[in-house]
Amino acid sequence: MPSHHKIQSRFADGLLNPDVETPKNLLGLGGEEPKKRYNVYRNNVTISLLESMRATFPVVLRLLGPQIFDPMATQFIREFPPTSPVLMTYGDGFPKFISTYDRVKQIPYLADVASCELLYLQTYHGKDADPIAIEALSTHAPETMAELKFECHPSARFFASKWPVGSIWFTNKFDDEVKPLNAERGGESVLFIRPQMEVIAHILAEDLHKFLSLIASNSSLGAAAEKVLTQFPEFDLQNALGAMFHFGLITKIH
Amino acid sequence: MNMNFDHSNTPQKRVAPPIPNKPGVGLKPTHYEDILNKNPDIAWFEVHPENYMGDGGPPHRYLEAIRNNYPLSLHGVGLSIGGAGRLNKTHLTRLKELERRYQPGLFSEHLAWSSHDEIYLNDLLPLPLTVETLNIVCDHVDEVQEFVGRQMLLENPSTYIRFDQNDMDEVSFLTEVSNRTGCGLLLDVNNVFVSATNHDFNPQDYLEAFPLEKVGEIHLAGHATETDDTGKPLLIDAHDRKVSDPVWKLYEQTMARTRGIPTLIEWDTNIPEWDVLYSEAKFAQEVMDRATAIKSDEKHAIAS
Repeated sequence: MPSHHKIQSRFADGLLNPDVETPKNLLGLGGEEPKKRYNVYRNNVTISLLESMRATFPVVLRLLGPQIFDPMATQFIREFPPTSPVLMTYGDGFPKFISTYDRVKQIPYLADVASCELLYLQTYHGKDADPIAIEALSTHAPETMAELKFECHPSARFFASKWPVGSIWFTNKFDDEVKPLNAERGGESVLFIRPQMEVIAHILAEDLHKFLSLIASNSSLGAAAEKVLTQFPEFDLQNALGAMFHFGLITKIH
Repeated sequence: MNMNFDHSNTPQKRVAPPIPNKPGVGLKPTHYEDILNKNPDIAWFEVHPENYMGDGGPPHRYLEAIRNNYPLSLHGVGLSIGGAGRLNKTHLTRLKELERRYQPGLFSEHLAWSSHDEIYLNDLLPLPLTVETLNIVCDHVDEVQEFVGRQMLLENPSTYIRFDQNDMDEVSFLTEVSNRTGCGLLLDVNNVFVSATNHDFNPQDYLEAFPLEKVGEIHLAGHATETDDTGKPLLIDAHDRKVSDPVWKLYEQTMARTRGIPTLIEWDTNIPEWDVLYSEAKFAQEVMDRATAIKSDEKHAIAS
């Protein structure tokens, strides 16, 4: 008798591959080949994973419609099935897959929109923490300010794109009627953060994005400001500090 | 390893309220607000732990709030206890962490596999019932109980195919797993009806053979009807509608042999308004009351 692992392999082989025939060791009621019965499992696996993809990428689904999204996501599922039972994290490779999928290649921003959807979910399920207010800065002597480093909210995620992905993502996610975007609109940088219950997406000016990302990657206040000022002489540090605390990005000052 | 079924003897020092012998319902995100606002008279809730394995965020906040008001049961779908491979230690660790955090009154999994060679297939897949798989399942149940530090319940599956290699029937298999590991059983009456129809056996015979003294929880759900390769009805365990009449009848007959058992209404697809789910639970309460009352009347009659 074949081992359980072997039996399981035969059963599993066809679940994500429609070209594989029904395993031979299975019985229907009268001993007939239980093709339809085995297909129930095939359907359960594919449809439930497709549902998971639809739940993770609602904006990509809305932009493409199910006629294009479903076959694309199904192919993704077959090529890159999940490896963890925690499906809230499934779909990491989808943006890259989108950028190589023939039928959607003419939509250059689509992969970046999919990345936004993944980051949104990471922020949604991210660790909880209490942000601190800007007043906390006043406990530090002015001459030590430049040396300060900050601990950022664990739910914060940054994303920069040469497309206006923040606006595309936002209107398709939340508006009943999608707001048309100016075709001339350039790239956007987005910060996803969840200071309390709700995820908030901030579309950031380029200089602010650069500054906050530096802070988030543990630059000191002085070093971050200096770096941004060389690239953006108009950079307003006072405003940036206000925004940084207003967004709830800071949970601790070192 | 053997653990007594009595919860007070399990090695847990916790304040987890036991799940009462009453109906509960599966907790769904669409009902969070209704439950927190209406504070409905429902005995307990059950969740799939896999949906609460993020680090933080709204799912945990809602579950904490609801857990503060109600007993909770964790019903896993991702351990692949019936799988040939080793249990996923990372997943076990996540389960243990949830168990510690939410202190559920009951903790259950399935006689099924869902992972194969690193791939997670997201379905409860069938296994042949052989001496080999019995040993595998017992080892896995032992490992889970030891690792998580508490007794688990193992649920009977609904299946659409049979294997030509079976050495024993499902009830004997489950009974033996329970005897050898000390795990309890979760009896899904809808699964019994679905499998009985799909494999042409008598569900009453199955239920009469089932060791009810080992059952810590009952599941009820709705099923869909399709046809198999020969045109005969093939029932699908869809959890997408109300519990069917024949399943209620089997439930009532089963309850009449008990003093009541925690009973869950599962509804995972096409999820209805809260009030519809609530009324299913109320109906289960009526059936349980009626069935267990008959039992105590009979006892009374015998005693007098």
